Amino acid sequence: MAQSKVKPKTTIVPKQNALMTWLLPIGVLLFTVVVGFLIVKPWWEDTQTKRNESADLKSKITNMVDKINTLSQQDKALLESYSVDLEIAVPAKAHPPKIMATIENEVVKANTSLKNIQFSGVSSEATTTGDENNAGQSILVQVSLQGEVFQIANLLKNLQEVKPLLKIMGVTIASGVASGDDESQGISGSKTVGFSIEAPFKELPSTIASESTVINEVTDSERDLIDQIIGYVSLYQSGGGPVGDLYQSGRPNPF
Amino acid sequence: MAINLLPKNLQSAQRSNSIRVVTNAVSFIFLVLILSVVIILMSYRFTVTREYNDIVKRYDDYKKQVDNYKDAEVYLTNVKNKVNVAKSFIDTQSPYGDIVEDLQLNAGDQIQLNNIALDKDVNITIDGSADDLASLARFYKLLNKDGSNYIQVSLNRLSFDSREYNYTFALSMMYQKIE
Repeated sequence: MAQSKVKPKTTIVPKQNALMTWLLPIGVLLFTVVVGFLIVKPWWEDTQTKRNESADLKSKITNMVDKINTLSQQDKALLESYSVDLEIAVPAKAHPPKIMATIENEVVKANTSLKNIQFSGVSSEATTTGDENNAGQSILVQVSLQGEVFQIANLLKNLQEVKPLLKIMGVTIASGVASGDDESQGISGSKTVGFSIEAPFKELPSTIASESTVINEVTDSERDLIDQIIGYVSLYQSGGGPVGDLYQSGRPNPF
Repeated sequence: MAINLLPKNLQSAQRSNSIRVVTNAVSFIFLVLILSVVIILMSYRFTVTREYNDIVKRYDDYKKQVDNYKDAEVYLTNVKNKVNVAKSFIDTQSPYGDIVEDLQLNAGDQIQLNNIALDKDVNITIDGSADDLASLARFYKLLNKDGSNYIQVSLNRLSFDSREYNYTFALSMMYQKIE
């Protein structure tokens, strides 16, 4: 009976036990959070950044090795010579008087009579590559002249083989001459010709590409093109294509 | 099922101790795992950093070598740029001189080509006159034969000019380059 009257102990001990039970897990959790934010996360991010940069640098180094190999095989004197010739063919700056003088020179050489030559401004032109860096601009010129058909044909051919480069954009040939001159028609008669011409120019890049940008050497087809351009007639060179013969008769009857 | 004969307070203390042992063990294992992760990450970071420093050093060495070829690079870049522009121009040139010459050759003496218009896409229109229809037929046949440089040759107009006593005509066609 005495034992049954003993009051059960309802002290603070269970609460202390509970606190002691969860103290370490809570501490570990806090430690984990602190370590995660202050050590693991920054280290992981730094490592990933360095890994990415390393991969990027490796790729750049591969390109640089190729570039060094390419550049070490180049003949600098030959490239300099090509640069000079191409500068005449595709000038760095717009120079309308030079273009017009070149056209006039060819007109005179073809024994045709220049009636009008007019500078029509500058236009931009995207090249076939579609690459913005390769986009050039061109000078526009309108020309009208008089001459015989064979002279006109030779002139049109010769104009496409001069330095600076010229591109004919359309031709109209009409019989007869301007009022006041002799009116003549037919195969040997004088014709009035009008055409427009584009002449390209391309500024040199102000900065060269980054050290890791791949650069290709001049290909055989580009070398052939350069040789072809070098052979073109320039304003300050004598010579040029011979004036063709007058066509006496047409082709045989196909029937 | 075993019957626990201990007093309730002792039973409660026993349960608390059991739970504490488990939580402490789990916490300890978790702590060890965390520290292991930190150690592994530290060694990984050390390796990556060392590799990164090596690559940066190699990159600087190669950059110096590229700088030694700066002159050649400037010339080569310039040549490539100009060649690209020149190529785009030359590739899109149409042989207007050859076309005019060829049309005149095909026309011969019996056909007079009064007006020839060639646009920038080399669409050709011709106004002319012929002494007789046989000459015009010959001219048309030459332009329209297989393997000719001209396609879509079309006679758009043909009329007899009683004053000049000849036939006037209008032709249109397109030029195509045959390689």
